[in-house]
Amino acid sequence: MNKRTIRDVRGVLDQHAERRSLKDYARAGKQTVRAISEEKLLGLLEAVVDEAISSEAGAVAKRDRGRIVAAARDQLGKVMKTQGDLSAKIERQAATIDESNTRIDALVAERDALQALIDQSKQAEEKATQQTAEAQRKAEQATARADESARAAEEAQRAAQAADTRAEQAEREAAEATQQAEQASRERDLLRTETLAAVKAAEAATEKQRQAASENLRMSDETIAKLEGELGAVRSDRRRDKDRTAALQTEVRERDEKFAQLKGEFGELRARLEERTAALAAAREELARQSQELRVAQELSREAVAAQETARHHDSEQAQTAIAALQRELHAMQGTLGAMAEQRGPDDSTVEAIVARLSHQEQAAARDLEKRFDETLGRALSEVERSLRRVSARPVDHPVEATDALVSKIFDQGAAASNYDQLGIEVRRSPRRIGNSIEQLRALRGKRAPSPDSPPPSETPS
Amino acid sequence: MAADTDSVKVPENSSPEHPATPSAQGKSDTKGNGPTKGMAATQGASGNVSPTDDIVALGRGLDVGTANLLSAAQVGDGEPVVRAERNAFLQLPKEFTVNRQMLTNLKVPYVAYEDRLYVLGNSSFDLANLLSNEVRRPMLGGFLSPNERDAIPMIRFMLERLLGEPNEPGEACWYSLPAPSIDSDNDTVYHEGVVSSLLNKLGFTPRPINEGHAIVYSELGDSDFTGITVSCGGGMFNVCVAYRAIPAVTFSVSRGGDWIDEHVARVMGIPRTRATAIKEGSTSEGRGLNLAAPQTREEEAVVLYYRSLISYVLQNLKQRFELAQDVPQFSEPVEVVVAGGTSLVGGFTEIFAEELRSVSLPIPIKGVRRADDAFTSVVRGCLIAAALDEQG
Repeated sequence: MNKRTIRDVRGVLDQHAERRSLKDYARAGKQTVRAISEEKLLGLLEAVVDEAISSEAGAVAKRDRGRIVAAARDQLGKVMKTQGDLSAKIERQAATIDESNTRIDALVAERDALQALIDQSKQAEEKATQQTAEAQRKAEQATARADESARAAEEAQRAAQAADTRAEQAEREAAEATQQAEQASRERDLLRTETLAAVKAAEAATEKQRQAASENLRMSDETIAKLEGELGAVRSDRRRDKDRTAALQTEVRERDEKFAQLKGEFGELRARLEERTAALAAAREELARQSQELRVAQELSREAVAAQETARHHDSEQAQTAIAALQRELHAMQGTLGAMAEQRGPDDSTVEAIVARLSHQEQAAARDLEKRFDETLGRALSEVERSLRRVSARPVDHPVEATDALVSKIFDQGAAASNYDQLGIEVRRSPRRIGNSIEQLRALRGKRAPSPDSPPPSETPS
Repeated sequence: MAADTDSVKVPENSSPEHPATPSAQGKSDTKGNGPTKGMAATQGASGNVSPTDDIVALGRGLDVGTANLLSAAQVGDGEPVVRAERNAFLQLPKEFTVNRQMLTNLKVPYVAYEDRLYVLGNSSFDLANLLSNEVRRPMLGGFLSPNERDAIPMIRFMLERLLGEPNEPGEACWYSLPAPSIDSDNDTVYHEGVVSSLLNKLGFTPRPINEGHAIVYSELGDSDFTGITVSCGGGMFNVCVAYRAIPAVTFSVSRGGDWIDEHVARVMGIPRTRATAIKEGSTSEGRGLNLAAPQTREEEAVVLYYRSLISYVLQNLKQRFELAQDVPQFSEPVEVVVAGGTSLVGGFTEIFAEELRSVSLPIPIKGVRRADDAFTSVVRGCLIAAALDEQG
């Protein structure tokens, strides 16, 4: 308790305390006096107030706090769980992506290595082709030399034949020439043999190199095919991995969008609920107001009817009382007349006159009563009607021609300055004439026999 | 019944003369004068109108459309003369307010209102391009725009320009009114009230007529005024089913040429003006669009949205037939007539007929045709109603 509060309580205690001395108590016959310390009293009050506040506030605060904390804990748990799931998924996807990237790098390196092998085998093939061309050229050169030797041998033979016409020298020369020719021929053969051997060797070497080159080529083709197959497989794996990654990312995005959408929908639902609650409260208020009005109307109606009934009953009673009184008077008069008739003897005309006068008076009185009754009833009914009208009165809608007022305001601002009178306006003549249509419609109207007051075919939208 | 003479067929691939949207300019035979004395032709600054073109009959027609305003009167022997103006305006910057003579020299009509200068109608589009500004539209979706504060004064000035003074006080002026839309919450009361009040103030006796019903008057004379009409405007499509000139079913949908432009621009990622130009066949390529044979992806998108809109209208018409209790039973096949600027694109009637076949309406259909002068169908129908009103 703060000092101000303590001062206030002290003030109250001082205000309500009664100050007396012990002698006064003794004088009053009091033997014992119970005294309570002011400080202790303040302390007790403070304790009571604190107890009351804390128990009330504590209970409420504890209840609300517990509820709020539980709700927040649940919500937090859900959000954390969702976040954890999403984080785990993202980590898994990141790992998958890293793995795919690593694999892709490895495959790219392998592809590069295979490409290098392919290049090397291509170079070897080119070299073998060059060697083959070289061997072929050498073979051609050897063949040319063999042809030259053959021509030389032929020339020697011709020289030997020309020497036959001469003598022994010619024979010797011929023999020598023959020998030379034979030698040349041998040399030629030898040369041819050597050439053929060289050609064969060259062809063999060429064939060998060609086979080697073909083998290399075949191996290269197989290697290339194999490498291409592997590359294709690597590519398809890579594509698959990429697609999978994209699908996972799409899935994550979709989940996020759905989460946001659900959140939005939750907000909308909450707003709609609040609107409906407010509308319901307003409807209830309106219903209460209308019920109250109805009750008032019913009471007024009952009062009016009761008033009417009372008036009618009262008038009816009055009328009946008057009629009863008149009847009693009539009976009395009749009795008197009878007595008089008995005393004086029959005097029909006098009796008739008196009876007639009494009847006339009675009829006049009855008419008067009836008239008063009708007037009273009419007043009562009018009062009831007024009451009912008052109860059921509603504001009368009076449509105001707002558009006329608005348009008048625009026209009242006066004519606007313009250059219309100096400029023309586009005019077009429609190729379709309307005379026939007008006549046809007029005839159609005539067939339907419209009344003179029937409106022309003005259409407000249906 | 004899057909109207001088009907002109609109070639399928021609550019629309007065489309529902801003880019193209209309063509005209003659230039008339301003609104000083009704539509009687007096010599104007640019006029070459014959002095015998006086108005011969009372009664005016007025088409109050989202994209265009048109007025019509009778001259000669039942020949309607139509004045048209784009339903748009442009507020000029202050520096123009002191140089009004220049505007007159450039043949730009202006009006000064509340210390501001406005250019009205067709010229507003040219100046808007020049000044890199946007025109403002008094109407939106077939009705007065609630967001345009100067809508009513601008409509007033344009109507003054189109109608001029009445030939006699209280001359009947029948104006087109759209039916309530089945797909949006529009209210005809305010729009009808304002237009009626404006015409009253201008000295006319206003009478509204449903837009689709006006086309029945102008296009179905040969069919005993029995059939189905569709007014294809910039802001909305209006449908009317009539039997012997009496409308049995009328409704509108709040989609029109502007809806097609907007969606094509969005899905193609192009400016809206480009979408409009493609639809109207006024691109730099110079080739008109034919809905039955699109050439580019953008044209295909236009066709897609045209088909979607036509199918939407026909499905709703079918539903109205099935739900309405007082629809007449047509024993003979009836004609479907389409009109309005949005129907002027090439191939429109073909795809309309295709969509009609797929919808299968519960009444026999003879065929689909476009009004011979589709741009002026509504205003001619209004003029016919006005002539009947005045002449009995």
